[in-house]
Amino acid sequence: MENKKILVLGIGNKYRCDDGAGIAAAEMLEQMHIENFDVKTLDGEGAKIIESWNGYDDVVIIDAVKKNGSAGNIYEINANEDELKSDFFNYSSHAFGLAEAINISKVMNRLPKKLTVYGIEGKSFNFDTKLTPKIEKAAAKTAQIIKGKYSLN
Amino acid sequence: MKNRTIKVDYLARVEGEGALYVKIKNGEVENVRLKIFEPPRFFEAFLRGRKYSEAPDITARICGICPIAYQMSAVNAVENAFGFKLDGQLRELRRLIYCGEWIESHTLHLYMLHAPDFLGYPDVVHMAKDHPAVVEKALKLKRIGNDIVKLIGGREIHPINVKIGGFYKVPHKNDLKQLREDLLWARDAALDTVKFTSTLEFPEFEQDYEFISLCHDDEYPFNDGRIKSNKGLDISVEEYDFHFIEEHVEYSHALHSKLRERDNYFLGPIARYNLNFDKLSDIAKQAAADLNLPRYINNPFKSIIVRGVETLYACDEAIRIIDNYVMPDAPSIDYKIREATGYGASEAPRGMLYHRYRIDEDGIIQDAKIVPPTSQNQKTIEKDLKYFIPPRVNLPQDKLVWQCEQAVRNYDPCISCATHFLKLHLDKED
Repeated sequence: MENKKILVLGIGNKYRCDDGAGIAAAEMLEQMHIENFDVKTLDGEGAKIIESWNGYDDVVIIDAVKKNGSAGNIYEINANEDELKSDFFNYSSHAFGLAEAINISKVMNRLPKKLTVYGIEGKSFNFDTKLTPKIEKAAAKTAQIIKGKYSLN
Repeated sequence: MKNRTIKVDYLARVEGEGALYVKIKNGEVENVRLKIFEPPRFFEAFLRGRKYSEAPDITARICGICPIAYQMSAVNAVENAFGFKLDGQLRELRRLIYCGEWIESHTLHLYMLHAPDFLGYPDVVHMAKDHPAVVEKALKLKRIGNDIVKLIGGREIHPINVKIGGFYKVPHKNDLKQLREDLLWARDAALDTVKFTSTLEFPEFEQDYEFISLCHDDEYPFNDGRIKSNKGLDISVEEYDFHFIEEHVEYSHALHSKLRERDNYFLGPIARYNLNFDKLSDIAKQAAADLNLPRYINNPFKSIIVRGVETLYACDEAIRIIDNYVMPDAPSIDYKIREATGYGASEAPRGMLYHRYRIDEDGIIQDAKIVPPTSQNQKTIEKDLKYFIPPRVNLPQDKLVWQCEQAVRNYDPCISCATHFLKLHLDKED
C-alpha cells in the first residue's frame, strides 16, 4: 500500500562537521511534529536509501553537498528529471551512495514518483560533532523551506 | 613502452576516501603508496575521558558499513577489562547480529562494488541495465542482513541495543519467526551467489601471504578465538601489541601495521576461509566442494567467491541460532567496574578489528587504541600492486588502471573507517 505521507530523509555523518547538515535539518523537522511527514535519518549507504523510500510516492532528501559555490548555498534538485552525479555528494563516504541509489533506481523503475533532493553546501568536513555556524543556519533555512512547501499543518 | 606516466584522479567503488599513488619506471614498480586518513585516531582521542559504556556506541559511528564490528570489538575489550565473557544465548545473539552485518556488507561489496569489475561494467548502475534481476536479488539479500541488524541492534543505522554485559533488550522467539522465513530465501540466494561468483574469470595472481584471523576450536570466528596465522602465529588477543606494530609512513595519515616478527599480512574473508574452513557449516562446505573451490586460496581476486561462501555461511548460521534460540531470563548480566586494560578483537567483514581500552576505577576511559582491518591490509595492498603491475605494464593505460583498481577492491577497503574517496595516481615515466 502506498504511503500518503511524505518521507523526509536526512543523510549524513554527524561526526564529520557539516556532513551532518542533512541530519540536522531532518531532526529540526522531526521536532516540528508535522503530521504528513515521516522523518528518517540515514548514513548515506545506497541500498538502505532505496529500501527506506519503498512505499512512498513523495520523498524529500536532505544531504550535504560540495560544489564550487559558496558554503551555505541550498540547492533544490528534481531527481526524477535531473541527472545526479556522485561527485556532487562527494562527502558521502560511500561508494554506493545517494547518487548511485537514485541512478540505479531509475534504471530499475524503483524511484518514488516524486523525489526532491535538497543539497546544503558545506564548509568543513573535518572531524567534528558540530556544524559550522553558517551551515547550521542553512540547515534551519532548509527545514523551513521544506516545511513551507510540503507541510499540511 | 617501459616508462609511462598515467594519472587517474578517482578510484570508484571503494568504501571511503584516500589516494593511491603508483610510480612505474623502466617497467618496474618503483613506488606504491596508499594514502588514507584514519578516523580511528580521531575517535581514540574522542574516547578519552568518556565512560566505558559509551565505547560501543561511539565507535559504531566510525563506519556506517560495519558498525556492529566496532560495537563487538568494543564490548569484547571492555568485558575483557572487567574480567568476564558472555555465554549462552547472549553470546549467540551477538553472533546473530554479526551474521546480519556480514550478509549486508558482503552482499554490498560483492554485487554493487566488485562484480562490475569482473563483468566489464564501469559501475553497478550500468550493470543493472543488463542484469536487473541480479541487482534486485542483491538488494533483497542485503536487506535481510539489515533486518537482522535492525531486529537485534535496535535500528539499522548506528545500532544502539548492544551494551556491556549483553543487550538492552532481547527478542522474543516469535519476533524471529519472519526473519527465519526470510533467511531461508536468503540462504538460497546466497547459494546462487556462490555459483555466480564461481563463473567469473580471475587474473592469474598468487602470492605467498601470511593470512591472519581469529580461530576458535568450535566455530567459524566472529567474536572469539585466538589470533592465528598460516605461518605459525598463535597468540591470545591480549598479546596483540607484542606481536603487531604500527609504523608511521610519511605519505599517509594512517599507520601501517605489520608483524613484529615478519612483515605485512592479510586479513579478511580469504584469511578466515583458509584458517577456518573446517568450521564452516556443512552447506557452505558443500557449496565450496561442488564448485571445486580450493581448500586453500592465495589469489586475492577470488575473495569475491569467498565473500559469497561467507554470506551463505552467515545465512545458515543465523538460521541455526534462531532455531536454537531460547529467550534469556535477562537481556544482560551484572558485572563490576574495575581499573584495568581490556583487549578485544572480532572479525569485521573486512578482517580482524582490534580494540584496546585502559579504564580507571570510575569506569572512565584513559586511553583507547583501535586498529581497523583496512589499515592492517594497507601494506599488503601496496605489495600486491608492486607484483601485479610488472607483467601487465604494457597494457593500455585504461585497462591497467582498471585492473589496479580491481586489485585494490579485492580487499574491500573500507576507507570510510578512514575517510572518503580513494584517488589513484598511476605514474609511468617515459
